[in-house]
Amino acid sequence: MNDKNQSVAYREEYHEHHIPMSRYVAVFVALLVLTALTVWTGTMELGAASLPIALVIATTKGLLVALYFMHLADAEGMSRVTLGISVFFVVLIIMFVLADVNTRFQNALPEGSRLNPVPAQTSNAAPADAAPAGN
Amino acid sequence: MSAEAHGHAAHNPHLAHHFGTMEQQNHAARLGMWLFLATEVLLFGGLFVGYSLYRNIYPEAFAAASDTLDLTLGTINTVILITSSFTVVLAHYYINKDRSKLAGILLLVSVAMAIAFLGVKYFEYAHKFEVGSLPGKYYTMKELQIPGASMYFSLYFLMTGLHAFHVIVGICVLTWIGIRTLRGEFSAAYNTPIDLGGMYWHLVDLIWIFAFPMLYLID
Repeated sequence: MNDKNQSVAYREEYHEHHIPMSRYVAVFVALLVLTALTVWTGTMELGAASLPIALVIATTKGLLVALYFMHLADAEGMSRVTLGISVFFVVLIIMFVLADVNTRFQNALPEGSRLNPVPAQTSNAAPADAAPAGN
Repeated sequence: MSAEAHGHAAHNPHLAHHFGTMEQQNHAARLGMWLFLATEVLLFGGLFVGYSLYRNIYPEAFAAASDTLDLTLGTINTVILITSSFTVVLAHYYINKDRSKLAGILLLVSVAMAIAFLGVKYFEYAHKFEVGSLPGKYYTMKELQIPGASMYFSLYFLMTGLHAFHVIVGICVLTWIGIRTLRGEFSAAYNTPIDLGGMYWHLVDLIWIFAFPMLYLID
């Protein structure tokens, strides 16, 4: 069948009916292997590297589910971009929220948090750069 | 009429009169489902934002609170959910081969796994009520008294709770579709409910794929 002469909807439907069972089995096995991998790396105490590793594995698993189980790989037209656009905006708001909180005046953050730790001895122990003189 | 060009589809009794072909109708149905799922991502996105904010300012509390979860139960639930997604996609595969009995059974097997997921979740929740690792002022866990620990459990219950609510909705949808499939209402020519119900279930799986490492695997 010549894809060029067919409508977007027809091509989508055509691909759909020609997906071999082996593709689903391969994706399923890959998802199980990646689950084992994320549990393994998650319990290795990798420190700062553990979050990026967990996110990369989760994103890979998410892509496998979306592309092959939800048939995004065979989608045509606007269906291809809706999920990506909503994920993009979630990532965007997370980045702006983190940029905001990490650059705030220290005392504007809850005491006892990473960015405003409880002073060890006296209340004058605050670092000089966080509380400029004359402020 | 242009429908004559696709004569085989024009006679499908499930084709609504405002669509030219069955393919066009399926494409429109799927696009509508994708738009709905986009709003679902934004709904969970709000909780992911709150999680990022508080994990960022309370890293030690989140790591310590995460350690109190049962990783084995969390991993079992992840495998259950991924397997149920697989059986749903197999149902979709077999209905396209006109094997409606097998497709229906696979959908109901998926429902059984979804119920098992909630069962495991029940034991996890019950344990948290027992030790007092609960949100806000109900937090009474003596072993972990550092700022941010109760916030972790607020987010834990909101994220897993909203997800569990989606699992319950998914159970209702898949049971309804599974029974209709067993009755022989769907075929290779018409299976939009299986297609769209399956997409919903895969999204529930997808959300959990992210929630699992975020809640259970913090160093």
